[in-house]
Amino acid sequence: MQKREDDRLDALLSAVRAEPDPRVWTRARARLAAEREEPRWVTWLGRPVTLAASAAMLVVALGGSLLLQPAGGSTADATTLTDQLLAERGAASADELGGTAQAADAAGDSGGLQ
Amino acid sequence: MHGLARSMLRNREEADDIVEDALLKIHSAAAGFRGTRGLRTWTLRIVANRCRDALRRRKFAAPPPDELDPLASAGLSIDPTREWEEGEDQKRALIALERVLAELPREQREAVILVNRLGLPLAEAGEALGTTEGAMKSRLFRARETLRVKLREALGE
Repeated sequence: MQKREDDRLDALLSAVRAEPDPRVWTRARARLAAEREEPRWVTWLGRPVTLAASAAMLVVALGGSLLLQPAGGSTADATTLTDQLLAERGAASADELGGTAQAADAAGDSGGLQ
Repeated sequence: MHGLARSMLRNREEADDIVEDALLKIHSAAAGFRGTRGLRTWTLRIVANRCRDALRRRKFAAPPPDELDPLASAGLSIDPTREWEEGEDQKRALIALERVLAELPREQREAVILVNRLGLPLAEAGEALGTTEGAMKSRLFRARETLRVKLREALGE
């Protein structure tokens, strides 16, 4: 009985086979050819570990910059400062423009061209 | 290589990816091959190690569905030259066996696949799996005991 079962088990186990898929060889050959063309440092940079480390460093840098920003009212301060700078700059420009215009007028009125 | 990977992983796509990776590994490590084990043993060892890694990763994923035809999803086919006992429902028996085989502990399954399915001698199969011939005999003995009982149950005999 056991001999018969053993024989059947052997027959069943060895009756199955796996046909090799030629696409696997084609893909492997293509990857080998690509590896030959690609510099080693590019491959190294593309490794999952390197990519994960880069992503972690980016997150740390972003977190650090957020922590370093002064808490509360920073946007309002920045707006005020910008406004002030623009106002000052505008006033200075107006002065300059006014001065230039006056000078031009003065030149026109001076009769220098006549 | 395909036979081992597909029988171990029971998923054709995953197994073929493993074989592809193994081919690249074999290519890159070919310079270090000293021939002490034989090319077939060496390549099967690489495939077996990769299958083990894949199965370890799979522990954290959902188990494969209990498909209708485990042979088809594994990419395995029935040898057309095989002669069968009269009255044997070969397809049903093979599907039942494949399911029972999948339930074996990984070490026993590897032993059965290499020795009984791929026809490797015990010593060579042991080398490919990084173990001794004695350990292989013991694994095979336990595996075949389980397979006989469970196959009988599965086929309602």
